[in-house]
Amino acid sequence: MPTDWMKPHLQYDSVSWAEVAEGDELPAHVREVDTTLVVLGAISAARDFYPVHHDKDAAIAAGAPDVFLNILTTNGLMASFVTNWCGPDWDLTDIGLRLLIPAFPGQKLTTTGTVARKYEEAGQQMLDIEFGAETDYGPHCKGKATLRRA
Amino acid sequence: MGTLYEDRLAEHVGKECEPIEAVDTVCPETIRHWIEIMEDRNPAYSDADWAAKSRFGRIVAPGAMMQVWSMAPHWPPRDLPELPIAPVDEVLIAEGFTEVVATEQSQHIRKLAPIGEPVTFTVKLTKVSDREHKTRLGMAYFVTFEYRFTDPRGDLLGTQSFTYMRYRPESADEPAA
Repeated sequence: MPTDWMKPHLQYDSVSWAEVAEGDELPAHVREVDTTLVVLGAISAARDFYPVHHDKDAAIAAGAPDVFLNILTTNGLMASFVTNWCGPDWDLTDIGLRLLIPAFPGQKLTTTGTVARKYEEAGQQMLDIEFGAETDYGPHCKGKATLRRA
Repeated sequence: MGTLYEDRLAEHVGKECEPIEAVDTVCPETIRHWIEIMEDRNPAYSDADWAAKSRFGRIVAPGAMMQVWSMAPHWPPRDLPELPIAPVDEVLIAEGFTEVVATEQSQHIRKLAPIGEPVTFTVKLTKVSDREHKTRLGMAYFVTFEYRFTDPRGDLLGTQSFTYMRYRPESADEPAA
């Protein structure tokens, strides 16, 4: 599988242990939620065929105004938000989400994060990142990710 | 001691299904279909040259996508062992807790699955709240189950815990007009 065309878009550098401090903010990330993201997130990325994530009539019948992001996509977007920031020399060891207001097409999903804790555990360099994503309707999810320096 | 049906719910806690082998082996195509949506820039998932020289030795799948390997095929239907969630849902639906909302998810990532290897998973019912809780949607029970993913040597790749709330809609308590 050729992947050379992807290389200019990949991130090879990592945040160093020395440069990171508790309280540092991760650069905020804005993603437009549209029907394409909702449907491709469910069907193509996650293979989640539950109709509320690709069939607007089914979503309305279930009480929602439109199709909405599935949890796998939300989780994936949050994980990539954190690991695109820290770079490939860190391992994501844990990620947890509280699920709040669903994200619908036509919304901007804005994700922010903070380095909540920098510590060493069993001789390994660790970071806890607290993050959250919001749409115009309010908080979509809140969570915590743990990174370990490889 | 709870109500009769609470005792029936408690009986199922701790039950785990037989191991299920995922239909797709971990492969670069499925990984790429994930990262193109997430816009993930980690070369461990897509740059074979970088991955070969890295601590992984070859391309690996993002830990956040572990549940993808467990998704059921669209066709033909696959006969799977009954998941331990089914009997709990059945009891709660019979008691009027007909609506579902997901509330929490967490993943612990132990090892990233390399391309070329199959993934096996189990589902275990880990918790059912021991009483009903008042929520803004109605009276509810919280149900937590956990996926456990392993590689062909039986080593743990990771776990994913998922909690949903089954509630009795407020209006359901009122007599029909």
